[in-house]
Order: sequence, then C-alpha cells, then structure tokens
Amino acid sequence: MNETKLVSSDKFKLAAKMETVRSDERGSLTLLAGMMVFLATMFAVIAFDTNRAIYDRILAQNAVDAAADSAALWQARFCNLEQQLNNLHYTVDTVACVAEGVATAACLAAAVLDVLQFVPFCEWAAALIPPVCFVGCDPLCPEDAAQHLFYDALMPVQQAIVDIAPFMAFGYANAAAYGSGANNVFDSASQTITETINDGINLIPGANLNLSSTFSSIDSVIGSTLGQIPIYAMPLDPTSLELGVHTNENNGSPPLYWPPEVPAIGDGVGMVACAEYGYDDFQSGVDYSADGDENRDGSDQYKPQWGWNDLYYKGNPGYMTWVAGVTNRNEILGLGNLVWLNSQTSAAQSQMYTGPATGGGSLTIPAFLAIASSQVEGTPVICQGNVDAQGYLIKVYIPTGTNNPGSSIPFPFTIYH
Amino acid sequence: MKIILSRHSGNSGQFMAEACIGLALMAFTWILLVYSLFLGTNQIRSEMAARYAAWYQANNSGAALPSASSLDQYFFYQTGLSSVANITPAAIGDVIEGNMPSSSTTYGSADGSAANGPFKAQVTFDPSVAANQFPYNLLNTQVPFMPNSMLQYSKVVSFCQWDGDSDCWTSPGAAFSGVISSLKSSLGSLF
Repeated sequence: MNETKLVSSDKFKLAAKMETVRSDERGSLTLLAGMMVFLATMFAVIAFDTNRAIYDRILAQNAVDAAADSAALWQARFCNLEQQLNNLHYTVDTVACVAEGVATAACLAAAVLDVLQFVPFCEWAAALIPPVCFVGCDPLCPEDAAQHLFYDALMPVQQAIVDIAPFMAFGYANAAAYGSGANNVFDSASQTITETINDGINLIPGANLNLSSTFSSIDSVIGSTLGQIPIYAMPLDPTSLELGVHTNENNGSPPLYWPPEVPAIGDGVGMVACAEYGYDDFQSGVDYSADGDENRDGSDQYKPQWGWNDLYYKGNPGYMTWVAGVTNRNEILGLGNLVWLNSQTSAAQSQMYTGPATGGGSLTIPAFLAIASSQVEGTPVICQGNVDAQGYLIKVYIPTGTNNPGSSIPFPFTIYH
Repeated sequence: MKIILSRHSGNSGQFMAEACIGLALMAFTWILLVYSLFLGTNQIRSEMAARYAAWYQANNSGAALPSASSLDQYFFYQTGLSSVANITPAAIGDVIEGNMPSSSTTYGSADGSAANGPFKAQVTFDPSVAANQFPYNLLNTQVPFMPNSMLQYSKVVSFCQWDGDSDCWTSPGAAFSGVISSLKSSLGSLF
C-alpha cells in the first residue's frame, strides 16, 4: 500500500515537473538567438565566399580582356610599322622610278646627240654629250643599285617584323594577364574542366560516382607538368597570332611602272652613248645588269623589279580568341567539409545520410576560365595607305576553322567592355 | 493567487536578460554579415575600378589616372575612401621569371608618361583613412569595442594592367620610340 502510494506520488511529481519544464519558457529566447546567430554566421561566410567567387570571375575576365586587347594592340602596332615601311618603300620606288626614267631619257638623248654631232651645223651637240652623260645617263646604274640596296635592307626588316610579331603579341598579352592577376592558364583550365566534368557526372541520376580523386590526380599531373610553363593567357588558335602580312606582287595598276624592255634599252644605249664618259665604270662598279635583277645575290626571295614594281608586304591579321583564368581556392572556415554543403557527395543529396558530418573533399571556390576575342581594325597593310590600325575587343568567337567571323561562326557571345 | 505572483516574481527580468544577451549576439552577427558583404562588395568594386583606371589611362595617352573622386562616383558607395595609383606593370621578363613587380614600387615617371604603356593601376578602398573614420556611411555608428584601427582589416586592394591602346605607332616618331621603349622594357625585365 505504501509502495503504491509512493509510486503514485513519484509519478505525480514527475508529471508535475514535466509540466513545469513544458510551461517554463526561460531560455527559449537564448536558444532562438543562438540558432539565429548560427544561421547568420553561415550566411555571412557564404556571402563572403560568394563575393570571392564573383571577384575571381571578374578578375579572370579582366585579365583575359587585357590580354586579348594587348595582343590586338601589338598586332596593330606591327601592322602600322609595316605600313610606314611600305609607305617609305613606295616613296623610294616612286622617286627611283622617276629618276631612272629621267636617266634612261638622258641616255637616249646622249645617243641622239652622239649622232647629231656629225650632222652639219650641229657640231654644238658634241659639247652637250658630256654633261648629259655625267648628269643624266651615268646615274642610271647607281640609282638602280641604290634602289636595290634599299630594297635588300628593307625587306629583311619587314620580314623580321612579321616573324617577331606573334611572339611579341603573345608575350605582352601574357604580361597583361599576369599583371592583372591571372594564374597559370594550364592550371586554371585543367581545374575548370575537371570541376565541370565532375559536377556534370554528379548530376546524372543514380550515377553516384565520386571521381573527384581521379580528376584531382589528373589535375595535379597537369599542374606539375604544363603548370610549370609560365603562360597566363593563350589564344585558342595559335596561328591567329600571325600578322597575316606577307609579300605580294604589286597587282593592280601602279602609277609608275617600267616594263622590262625599258632598262634594257636605257642600259644598252647608255653603254654606247656614254661609255667614254664613265657609264661603263659606273655599270661595272655597281655590278649592274638590266636583265639580271632576279639573279642578284640576296634578292631572289623578294624578286625586285626595275623601277617601281617591287614586292610589298600586304595583308591584315584575323581575329584572336584568348583564354585566361584563375585557379580554385578553398573557401573560408572549411565549411565545404560539411557533408550537407558538399555537392560532391551525392549520397547526402538523395537519401537520408547517416555518415559523419564532414566528408572528403572540400567545397572550393571554383576555378574560372574566361574568354575574350580581339581584332585589328583599320586599313589593311597595303603598298601605300593610312597608318590607322588599332586593336579592339570584339564579340567572342569560337574558332571553327574559318577566318571569316562574319559568316560561319555559330557561337558568338557578347563581351561588354 | 499568491503562488502565481510568486512565479512572476521569480521570472522577473528573465526575458530582459535573455533579450539583452540574444539580441547582442544577433546584432554582432548581423554586423559580421554586413561587414562580410561590405568587404566582398568593395573587393569586387575595387577590381572593376582598377580595370577602369588602367583602361582609362591606356586610352588617354597615359596622361593621367582617373581621379579617386570619379572612381567613388562610378564604383563605390562611400566617397573619400578610395585611392588610385600607378604601380610597376609586369613585363615579359617578369612573366618568364614568375616575378611580380612589387606593388609598392612607384611606376617611373619616364616610362609612365609614355603612351606606349603598359599601365598598371592599383585601386585601394580603405575605410581606415584618417579623415573618414567612424562614423562613416556604412552604418553611421561605431561598433562597440571596435577601435578605428580594426578598420584596416576591411581595406581592399585590386589592380589591373592594360596596354597603351592610344599609342598604335601611327607616326614614325611614335613607332621609333615605341620600339625602343618596348625593347628597354623587355630586356630590362629579363636582365
């Protein structure tokens, strides 16, 4: 009986106590505040990491824009340099053409005077032959030699510019990307690609594959090999770095052009009319041959022509598409180690998870790979033209094997700059 | 009735005490959240401002950087806290050697005045600037126990490098000086 009362009394006390606990609201606000603090802290950290991701994305885009712009700028500079040399070449050729034409005419005049001096009452012609030869005809060979000397000096310089331009554009584009904070492009590219593939696999229902370690291995191999090469931006198509300027026959209608017969006539007449006045000395001194221009040493590849009709460097570069990026980095506080925040653990997303709270891998701020296209605009490099080439950022084009961005490029993306 | 009064008497101040502690914690966390967003946003804006500053100088013959006040107007919520300066740009040799020029190095005026570029702009947004310490516009109030010196931790720095777009060597003189300048820059950074 007593035991029964005792038990009943204990039950009553316990129930009363439970009722007290249930009705007691003390501490509830602290509990609520604690939860709010926890959530707000999480939001703060996530917001901070999100901002860092956005920052990385903008930095990558700025870096690749700077690289693409720099490459186009250097192409434009070299195009302008070529155009200025072409204009100089054009001027020299024009002057030489006029001078050689005048000299040929003087040789013909000397020949006429040479005949005329034997005509009665025209003995005065003999007195004119020496000055006509010395001043007019004799310079024919030196003028042509000087023109070729200039040509032989100019063309290798222009070829050197063509050769060096891609490397300079590449170098300065990399400097711009590097100076703007881009990371090694191989590292950022391999990380971006492996992260994208890995996330894509995890999106496949039922795949339940965790290939992050495999991709990490691949990424580390790339990082330890290609990642050692100091390249921070690179064009998708390396050939797009070429200046696109090359020697070309001066087609069209050059304003001053001497057909091959003219130098032959001038030289032949000069040898007859002005030989005794030094023409042959000048001719042998400069090793002149009216019909031998194409066989002169050092000039074969450029095929120099007598008078005006030389070869010129002409053309223009195409568009370039550049990539640069930043590598991934760990988020602050290691929150990514929490399983429920780790997207790489698919089990936590699809079923009740009973494992540890922290999982393998970490939620990193992803690597970003940005893309930008640029192009030189202005007058193409021609025989004589405006020196107005400039580099511009343009819509992004994915190379498809054609150099015509206006017709068959299927994937244009707009870049705002 | 007496018992009830007694219970009330026992809990008096409980809610107030919990509210003081809880709300203080929440306020602190709220400030932490705001500062996180503030810091992150300013970092992003400073990067955008750095690009603009470098681009502006590169497209204006290297004459001058945009003023800090114009950057404030375009990019930042608060005025008077940003500064912009030229720093030594990375050259080809620096890329090869993996050597970033020191950000504290002032870009030489001889090269800096050349339109050839490149130009590297560094934008700093620093709430600890002496003339603009607490109270400033973010919250217009000072967080308790937070000295002004703590503000230095919310300073953000960004930089961007841009080549001299306005100098395309369109004249013989510009081309000559540009070639010499780029040779000096490239070779100088290598050796």
